[in-house]
Amino acid sequence: MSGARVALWRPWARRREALPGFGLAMGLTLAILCLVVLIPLSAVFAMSAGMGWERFVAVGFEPRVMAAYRLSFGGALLAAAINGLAGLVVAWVLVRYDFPGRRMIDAMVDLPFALPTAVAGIALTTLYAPTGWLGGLLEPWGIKVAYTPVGVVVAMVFIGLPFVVRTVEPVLEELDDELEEAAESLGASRWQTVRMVIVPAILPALTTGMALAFARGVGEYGSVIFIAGNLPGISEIAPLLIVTRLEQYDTAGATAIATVMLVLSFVLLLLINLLQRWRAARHTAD
Amino acid sequence: MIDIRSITKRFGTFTALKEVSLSVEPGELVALLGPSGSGKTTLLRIIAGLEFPDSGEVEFEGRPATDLSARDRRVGFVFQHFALFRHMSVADNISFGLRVREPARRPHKAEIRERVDHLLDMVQLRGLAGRYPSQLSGGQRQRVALARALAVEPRVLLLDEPFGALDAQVRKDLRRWLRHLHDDLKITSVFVTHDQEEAMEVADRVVVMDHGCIEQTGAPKDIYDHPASAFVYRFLGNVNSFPCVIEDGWVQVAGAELMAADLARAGRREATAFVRPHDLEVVPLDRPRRGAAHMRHAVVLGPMVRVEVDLADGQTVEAEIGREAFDRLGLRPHQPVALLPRRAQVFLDDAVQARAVPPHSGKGEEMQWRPRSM
Repeated sequence: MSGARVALWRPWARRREALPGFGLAMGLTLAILCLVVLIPLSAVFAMSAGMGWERFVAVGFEPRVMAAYRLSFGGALLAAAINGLAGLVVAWVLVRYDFPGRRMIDAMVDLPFALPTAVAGIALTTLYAPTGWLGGLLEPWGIKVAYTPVGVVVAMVFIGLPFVVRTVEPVLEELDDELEEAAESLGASRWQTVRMVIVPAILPALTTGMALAFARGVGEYGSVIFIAGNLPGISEIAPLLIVTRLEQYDTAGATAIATVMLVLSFVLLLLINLLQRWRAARHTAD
Repeated sequence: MIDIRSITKRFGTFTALKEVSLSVEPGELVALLGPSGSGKTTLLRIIAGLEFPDSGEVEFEGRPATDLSARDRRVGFVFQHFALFRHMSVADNISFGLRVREPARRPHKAEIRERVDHLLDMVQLRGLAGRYPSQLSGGQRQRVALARALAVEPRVLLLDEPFGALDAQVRKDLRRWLRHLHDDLKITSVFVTHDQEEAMEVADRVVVMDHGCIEQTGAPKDIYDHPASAFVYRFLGNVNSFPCVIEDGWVQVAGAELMAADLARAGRREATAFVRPHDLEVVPLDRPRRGAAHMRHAVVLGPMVRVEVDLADGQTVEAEIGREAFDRLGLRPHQPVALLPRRAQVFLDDAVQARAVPPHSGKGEEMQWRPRSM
């Protein structure tokens, strides 16, 4: 009876949902996504589509641009890998040990989130320049950080670290102590327990954090351009190239590079997502 | 097999174990029984090497083990919440303890597979080797955990509330099955439980603990029949307790006079009388009497009926009577009734105890109400 009454004043509802408001929430979600993400992104495609395939290839894949892709994506991947390790260690220390200053370190982890990226870039450059504190120490060893691809990776590591720490931390916190005790009572060494029990358990969170750090690294501009030195073909990142093109009023060239980056990023993130999905399906399927 | 000597363990200001000593014989299945906070789990974890005592000794097979880590003790530990490795298949979970051995002692792959198959047969999970823990039911998970613990051929099997996280029915099946498994394997086992029925059903010997001390140790029947203290008596099954005064052995319990012959010369003392629900008879009265008890309500539990009765002083007591007797008596709510304890256990405050029974001579009029057929 009540079902019929519902249908009278809400004819689109076939059955009563336990959680109301689906229509409204979904509508808002789609509107926000369209306005903020989909429409700007499709504009990029539309603009580059107008230039014709051959021109697109010529502008989007010229050697200088290719070198920039390599640096942006390669650097971001490397930085994500480093962050994976470093972030895991930081999260581990924050979760597992109680020590004076733990809260300070905990707060410091978020600094790269809050700091204007340009400030970070300038600070890193000053530090790693051949005249800087760290740069001066590394100079005698023949290691140059500032104004080289190494500097790019350093900046990307800096801004990506909180992503890994903050995604791994809660999972590590919830990890049952009993799992480690079980492993120990079965004769596993500490290292075996970490390798065979803990890391696999937090791997989904770790990959998510690394994917976020990677995405941030690819898109990062402010902190990288200062330390990179931006030598064409060597330490010039793709986002900088887009800005350069725009400054030269070469909108088509800029959108071509943007389109390639967009597709590459999307494919990589999709791959990571699928990998996670596949892992999750293996362990929780019914 | 396991010798524990005067172990004390504190967590901050809380003393979990006070000078506890216990020996477990080879092949024995021992239950550590107690309410939460009694220290039973701490004791089990100290045996396992997952916790270390502040003072006292642990010996395995006559050799000191106090400082051995869990890794070196060769014990199998089964957790209440299974603690299975979720990212590993059932087979990988079971073989974990074999795979982490140093290469020289690690069995070959084929041998590991054989062992896993054998263990899967034993825990009746054949064919589920490739499943993941999330695809199993609670009872199956706990059996995987057990197989995993047994795979390393432990000297001792330790189980922490092994059935605590399972449904009532699964729990019953699994504990019977565990008993049979133990009869086959004869592995020295200690398990922790707060469920007296579980302890009574499964264990060879029950260790009752309270407040970090062992209250009593013995075979299930001995403990039930001869509880060492009021705590043990109360903890082993349902019980009604009546504060009372005992005078020259005479004690009044729920309106009935009982005689504790052993305390005939104890003079006048304050005491507590315990009566098990199945030792309490309920007799309907034709008309209300002063100080009579009243029937509150009855719950049918299969062949037994649990009757709740309000005493004149406001206390509610439980009686258990057979279904047939209940039907014959025709008890209804609010009906005035008399209670007749068949036996009571009287504890004086200094732990002296005695059994009290109705006097044989029918001098109290209560005796006349007794239904003949019971």
